[in-house]
Amino acid sequence: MYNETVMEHFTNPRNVGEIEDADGVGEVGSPQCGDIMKIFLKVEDNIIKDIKFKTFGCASAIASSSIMTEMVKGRTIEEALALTNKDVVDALGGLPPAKVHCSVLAEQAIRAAIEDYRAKKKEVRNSG
Amino acid sequence: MIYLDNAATSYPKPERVYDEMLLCMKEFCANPGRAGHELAIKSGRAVHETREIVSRFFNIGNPMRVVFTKNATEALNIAINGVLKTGDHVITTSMEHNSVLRPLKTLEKENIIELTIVRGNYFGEIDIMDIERSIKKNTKMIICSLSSNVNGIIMPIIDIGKIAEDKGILFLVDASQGAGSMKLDVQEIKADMFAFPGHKGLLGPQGIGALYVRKGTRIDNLIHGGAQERKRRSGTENVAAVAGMGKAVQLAVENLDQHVHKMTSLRDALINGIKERIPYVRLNGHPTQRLANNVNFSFEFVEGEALLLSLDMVGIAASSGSACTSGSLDPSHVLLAIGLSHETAHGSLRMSLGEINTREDIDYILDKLPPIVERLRALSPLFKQCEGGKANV
Repeated sequence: MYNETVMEHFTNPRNVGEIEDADGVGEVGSPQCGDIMKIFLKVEDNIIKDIKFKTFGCASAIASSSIMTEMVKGRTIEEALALTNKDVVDALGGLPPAKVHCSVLAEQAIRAAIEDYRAKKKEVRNSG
Repeated sequence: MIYLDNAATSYPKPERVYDEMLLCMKEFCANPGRAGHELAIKSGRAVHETREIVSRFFNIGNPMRVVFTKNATEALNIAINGVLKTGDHVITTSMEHNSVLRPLKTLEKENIIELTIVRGNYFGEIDIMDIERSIKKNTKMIICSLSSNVNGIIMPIIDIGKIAEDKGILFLVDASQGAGSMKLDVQEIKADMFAFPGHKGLLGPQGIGALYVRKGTRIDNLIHGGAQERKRRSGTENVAAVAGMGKAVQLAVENLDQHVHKMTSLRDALINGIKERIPYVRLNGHPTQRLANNVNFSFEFVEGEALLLSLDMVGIAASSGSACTSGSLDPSHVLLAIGLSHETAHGSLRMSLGEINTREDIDYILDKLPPIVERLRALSPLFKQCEGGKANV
């Protein structure tokens, strides 16, 4: 059902965990559809220094989260925002049609985390 | 490979079933009853023999009341669509398979029938009073499965049969789960129609099922053609499959008590082992009122497909109520109907045992399953292990 890359990321997912003092946190998905993706970011000088994820979902949701974190780690915020679900699917070497929504979730998750980061930054600036 | 998906299709079949089918196909598999030549007569005899064997097994007095169909789904669709007419009211339960619920919902949507679905409780048990209370003047049929394909709850079909007979309502039993795994007598059940597949508990092949229709039950023929099966289901019978099912039922008769005993003991060992070794699990279904070979757990905070895939990687074949494995976006309607949250339903795992399973298989599963669940929980944002080992839900 899944190719080797997907299975490899499912079996050995990268960047699993949480960041306690994260600069940005994004959570997308819902229990109804069976997928929840949570992303934690550490940002320095506009660059994603660290990223961790936790995902409740099927193998392709876990693999999509894992490869997405690899793709944006070390990149600028703008580069990370430019990531599309198609990039995630391509990097995984393809997903079954019914599973493409998992890659969409990965795109949404990183966007949500960056939005949270920007909102927090604004807050700090305003209060400072 | 440890095969634990016998509720979907039993595998492997007894050697004698394979032998019987091969012999049939190679030696005499002509069109039964279509001609007077020797091979056609032999084929026809093989079909009739199976009709007699299954009739004895289910205490169906007259073998001619058995209609061979492609499978139980076809049998149920024929029973439902062949009997129900505009204005009829039907009572069924939330524990039914889609091969009952979907044809009924289609008829309801087309404004042909009125439908009442009686809900199962936490265990999946239905209250017989709910059935009685739902009866109206125009109630034509009550439909109930022998057992749920999801959580294995044994349904009170004897009680329902009595009510149906008292009120003069037709009673259709879906025996897809349970036929071959318990003693069944259509007279005792007072079933007017009784559908079963060959390929599950009976240990026969796929592609064959049957519908018993009690004498006097008015039912339209839905599939027209060469008038096979007394016009109830036209089309050449799947003779090799019919012969295979006949052999399988013969063997089932010989082994039934022993089989049930073995399945129950393995089932309970697996259930108890999982409860002992893995925290935050929910046994779906009833602890004792359940099919002898059904084990169904929800593992909180993990998703079923990831669980299935991980088990497959260590050579264990099971199934899940997760949406990801069912081809739809919703998890098992049966689990949702008995009050499971979506995430708990998504995390369900069904392990349906078979004759080939051993105590060693159970030990292997109990060895492999806990670390898999633990790994997936470590990945899950829903699971937070707090100090003292308690989950923060």
